[in-house]
Amino acid sequence: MEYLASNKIAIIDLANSKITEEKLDEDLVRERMGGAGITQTLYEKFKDEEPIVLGSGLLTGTLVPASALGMITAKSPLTGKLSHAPLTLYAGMELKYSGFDYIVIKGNAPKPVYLWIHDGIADINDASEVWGKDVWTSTDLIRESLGDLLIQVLGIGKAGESESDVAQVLINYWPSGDRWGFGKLFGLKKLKLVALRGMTLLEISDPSGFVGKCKELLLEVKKGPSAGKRGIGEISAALGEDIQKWLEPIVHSHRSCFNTPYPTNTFVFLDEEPKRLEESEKNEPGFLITDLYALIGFKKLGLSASDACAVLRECARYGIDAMAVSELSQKSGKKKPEEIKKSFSTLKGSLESIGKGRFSPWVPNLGLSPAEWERRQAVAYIFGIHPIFIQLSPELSEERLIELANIGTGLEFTSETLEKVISDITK
Amino acid sequence: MIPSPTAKNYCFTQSTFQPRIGVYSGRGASHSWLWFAEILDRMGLDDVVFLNERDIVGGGLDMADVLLMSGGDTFAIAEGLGEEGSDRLRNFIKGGGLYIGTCAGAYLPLRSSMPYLNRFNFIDVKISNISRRLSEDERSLFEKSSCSSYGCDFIYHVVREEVVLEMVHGFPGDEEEMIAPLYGGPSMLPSEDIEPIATYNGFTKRTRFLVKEELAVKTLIGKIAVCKKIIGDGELYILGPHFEHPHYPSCNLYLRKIIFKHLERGSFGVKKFFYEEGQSVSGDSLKGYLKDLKRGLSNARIQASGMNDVNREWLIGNKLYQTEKISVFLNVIWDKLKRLETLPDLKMDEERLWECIERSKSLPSVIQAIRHKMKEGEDTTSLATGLFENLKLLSACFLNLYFKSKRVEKERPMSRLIQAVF
Amino acid sequence: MACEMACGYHRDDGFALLSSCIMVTRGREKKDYYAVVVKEEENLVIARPEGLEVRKLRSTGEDDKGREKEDASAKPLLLREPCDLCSDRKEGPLCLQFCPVNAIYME
Repeated sequence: MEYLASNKIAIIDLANSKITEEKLDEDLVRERMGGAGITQTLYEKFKDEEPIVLGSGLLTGTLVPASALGMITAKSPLTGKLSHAPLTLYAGMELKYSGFDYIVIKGNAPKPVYLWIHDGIADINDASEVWGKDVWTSTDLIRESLGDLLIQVLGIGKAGESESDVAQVLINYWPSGDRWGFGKLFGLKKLKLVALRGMTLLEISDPSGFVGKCKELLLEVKKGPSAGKRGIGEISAALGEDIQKWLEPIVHSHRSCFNTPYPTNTFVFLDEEPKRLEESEKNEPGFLITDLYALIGFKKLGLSASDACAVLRECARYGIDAMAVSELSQKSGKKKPEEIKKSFSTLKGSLESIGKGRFSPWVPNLGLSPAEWERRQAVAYIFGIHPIFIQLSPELSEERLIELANIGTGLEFTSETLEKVISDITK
Repeated sequence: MIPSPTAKNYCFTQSTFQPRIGVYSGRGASHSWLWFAEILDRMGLDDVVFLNERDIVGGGLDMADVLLMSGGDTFAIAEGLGEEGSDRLRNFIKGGGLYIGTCAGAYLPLRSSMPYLNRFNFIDVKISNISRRLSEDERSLFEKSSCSSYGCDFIYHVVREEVVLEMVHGFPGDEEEMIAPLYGGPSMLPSEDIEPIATYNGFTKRTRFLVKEELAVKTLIGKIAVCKKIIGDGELYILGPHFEHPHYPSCNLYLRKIIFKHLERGSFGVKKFFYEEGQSVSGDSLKGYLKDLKRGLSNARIQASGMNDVNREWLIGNKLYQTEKISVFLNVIWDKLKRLETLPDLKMDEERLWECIERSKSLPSVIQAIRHKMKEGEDTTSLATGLFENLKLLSACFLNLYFKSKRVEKERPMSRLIQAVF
Repeated sequence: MACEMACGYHRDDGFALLSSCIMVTRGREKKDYYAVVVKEEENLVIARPEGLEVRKLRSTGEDDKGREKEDASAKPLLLREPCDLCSDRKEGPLCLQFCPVNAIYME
């Protein structure tokens, strides 16, 4: 696979510390396209070994608008089914540039380890210095140790280490879209985190053609329904759960994921003047809200915006799915921030917010039918498009994405191929 | 010496029409010698070795036809080579060698009474960019910048970046004018000891004036930018601008012409044939080694990238080194390594490869230590000095490996023929 | 960051960030503090939330008193080229065209 890819798959066996590399077979790409199409195939190939598969979409990390998505594919401890969790912010992009298109992680390490994926090299390193530490501290330590603040970290906290069903894999300091308990899988494998960093060059089959089409698409997208809007508040309004007024007093900024025209994340300041523009002197003045449903969940418990976000921050440190925390807290009658925080290690119960399909319910449904939502998610996960933004942007049609994939890779995907892959990954 | 055809690892070079080119990468050299590596690679010249001061003193020039000396700290270069090095260099040129010096490499052989430099004195020519030629008012302009101490005087610089040269005695078919980049190199006064090749003739819109244009004109225009001298059977070419800058293909081509014109003089003799020693490694073993090398380099590159927010400089010798310069060396090695990996049936010298791996492994922890000490407000100059020394040695070692691998790759068909014949 | 990718494409004809002359400093994400830096021929233009700073290259931004003299013979590092405003492209700077959130404009 010559274009828009590193052409490598890493197969990492944590049980015997063995790492093998395979070429990304072009026939596999022709048949399964990319993203979840291939992560699912790799999962099936190694399924007897309970793998976790990391992957990036066919167009992730390019100038295609919203090409931010990577994914984790594995069997969810919560549902027992094969599921996909989105990796947004800059993690999906960094995975693409780390030198591997896909990473299969199988086996359980005998003692805590972390994976260091860099420039096409996969290393299994001892994690004794970070095991037992919360997510934020682990990320800081790893970035310090490996020397670059741009390293993207997919990590677990104490929830994952203690193999909680609702343990989450986080991105650096922030909740990901993992609603599947993948943090537990990491914990079972004694895998503390995966650190990603790469300075690869991705070649393009028809550079000027591809970039020209990206530009056309971006111009249209910028005029589309999401134009001029930003932050989770607007999304909440679209869901009929408007939190903007409630949240506004602590909002510092709105943040986009890589190359995504709509900023789907909102940063709040909890220990700092929210309107401050200069760099805060506090190391951790606030929190990046990436999980709207969790925030709404805590709001429904009657928490103030500051308290809700403070609890979200503690969930992130602990590495636990905040949506699950809010739901289980509601069920058990816990409404005070302190009692909620104290209950992390003992939370139990069945969850209604777990998705029924393959794709994470972290992504809100912005007015599509369930079948339409699922299809758009499938398309997002194949091509590597932000799964929230793809709903806001009908311009990112299947035809346009196929065209871009063909121009960028030099392969000839058809709508029939896409249909087949969508069908496979949604059944 | 013609090697015995029954000797192990005998390789017969196909490069019979390529000179063996030495590039100085030792003490005092900055990073512009890496530009020579790049342009020689582009030109398809692969009989290239990288020599430090110890190699030269130890006789490394005996097997070379050309020595390329790029920019850096002239005094440090002279001190590093010492008397023995200067003797070796003199004999090399007299015996038919070609010396091409740019910038610091241009200053090195010029007549001087300064310590260390006074061991060279291969060329009797004066420079125009020295303070003794300035009025008192003009001297005061250089109090804070744009000069290098030179005894009671100082060497001053009036422009950076592009200058226009008039080719007063170029090769047949050359353009009359050439644009070249100048970063502190000399401008020379006429002398009977040299043959002028090019003079400074003007400026472009990319020229950066360090003083008023009037003084720049007075210092440079009409002065000699490139000259040549014959010593014995050999030649020296002295170039003020950096003709090896990779973004100036006309200048690079001119260097090639100099080298091949020298070839025509027939001075290369038995140095056409050489003996490639060393145990080589290939296949899966080589893959393992290369992965180890890439690991060290990648870790170092990432650590270096993490320093980009830190805008720090170190004064090492007489030259300033920035944190970004760490990446310069690493990226050159990384890019060449990637190219090597595409060669089928690659073979590499095991011992040299091992040396590169060991050096690359040590880099990340040093960079990390520098970062930590910076955070604590401690002085990091000695750590940085050691780091850049290691980077130079690693780069030179790797580039020797790289060019040798390319040679071996080319020679493979000939080698099989020789083995079949004998 | 799309700006970096676009500039990297302008330099390398592929997707990479190493040779981009515009950079987004993302290392302070816990503080939600970002800046955009453009390398020009002689300056770094640093756009921070609180305002713009134009700093000479190789300056620490601090008072230059007592600082070492500028090294006029320093060789360029050739890591990142200075911004040329994509002068060879008739549509102008790519970073401007590809910023997904319209954060860059040119006067």
